Amino acid sequence: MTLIHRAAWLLRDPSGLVDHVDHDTHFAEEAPRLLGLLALGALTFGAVVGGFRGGLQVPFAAVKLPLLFLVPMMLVLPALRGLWALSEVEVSYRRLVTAGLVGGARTALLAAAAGPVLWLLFGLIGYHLAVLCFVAVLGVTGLPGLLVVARAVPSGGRGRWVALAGSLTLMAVASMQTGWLLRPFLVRPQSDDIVLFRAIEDDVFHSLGTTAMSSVGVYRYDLVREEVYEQSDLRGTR
Amino acid sequence: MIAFVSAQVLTGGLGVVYLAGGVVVAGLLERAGRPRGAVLGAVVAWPLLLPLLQEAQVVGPAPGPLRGRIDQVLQALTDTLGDPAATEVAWTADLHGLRLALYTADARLALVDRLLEGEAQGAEDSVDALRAARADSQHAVETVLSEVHQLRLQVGLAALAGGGQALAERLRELSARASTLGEVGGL
Repeated sequence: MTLIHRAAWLLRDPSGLVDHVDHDTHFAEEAPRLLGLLALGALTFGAVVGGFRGGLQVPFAAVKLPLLFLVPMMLVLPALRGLWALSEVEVSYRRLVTAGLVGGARTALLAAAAGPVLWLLFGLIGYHLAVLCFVAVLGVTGLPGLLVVARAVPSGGRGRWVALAGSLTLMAVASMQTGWLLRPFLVRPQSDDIVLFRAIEDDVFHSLGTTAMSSVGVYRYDLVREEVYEQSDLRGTR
Repeated sequence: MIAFVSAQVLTGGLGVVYLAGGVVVAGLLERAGRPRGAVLGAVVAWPLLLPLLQEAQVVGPAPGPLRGRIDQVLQALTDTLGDPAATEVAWTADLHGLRLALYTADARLALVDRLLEGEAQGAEDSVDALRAARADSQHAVETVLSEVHQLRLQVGLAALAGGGQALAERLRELSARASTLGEVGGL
């Protein structure tokens, strides 16, 4: 009952919830609840994403999605505090953690709410478009979460917008790269290659570029072949 | 050095170190008497719960004879204010100040108890005066606790008939009263 109430509160008025939780006596009680909501939302969304392939990929993706929300937060929050301090804005680590937890839980719940729509889409589209839809849902639902963190910072300071843009960029990049390291979330339905983690290669930006090209019919091996042809043409003209 | 260690071993080692950190932080939180959810959460996400360790060091005065009753009454009020129907009150309520004031008054009682234990003989007049002042102070704390308990019932009334703002003001008034307990009680 308390969790349902907190879920309604963080969707309705996240800034108010941050103010409520950022308190000596409230933080100890509310932080685990927010962690629970974050894990619950992310688990649900992960199960939906893993459902594109089905089978063992469902629990694999469900377990990894909460990490996708938590790991960037843990890595980036101390750096954010430093960034804001450079802009002469004093913000406590507890307030940043509170804002991160509220923002993360909000994103996770919104992503879980988008799950049924994504599930429906998965039945209509191919693998590459499904990957882009997955990233798009995370991007759209992640924005309200990032804004919660941005709004939780006290007013004032110099170069505030630089710190704000830096914080949002840092958080977004860390989330994207963590997602890349924790992949695969989506696996082709016909694939037998179900693994918890893949080997580390390239980075998220390279992958998104390749996927975007593949979704419009230009595949990576075509690009490689073109490069090979161009190089052989150059050799031929010499 | 890193060149001699494979990526898998390094990742596994870091994972073990991270979990060990989680177990240590969870143990410290358990010792500080934090809620069970916070202790379990710390095993997985300890960097996010580090602020609780800092607070544990400045959580307030040492517990006195009424600490259990204070926690019980305030926890009941916290639960009531946390109810969905009482959200309006929870916004403006300042339970923290009230808790700290009651803890401080309770710690003063504990100090007096320690002093009285060591003064079994001699200076009877002073000891009697101190005992009387202690009794007055304890009575004052218990009166405030009783009013806090009544306030909890008034939350239900406010939920039905409105008046959340008046309730929050009453809570602030109680908090202010509690903060002067030591002075009023003469301790």
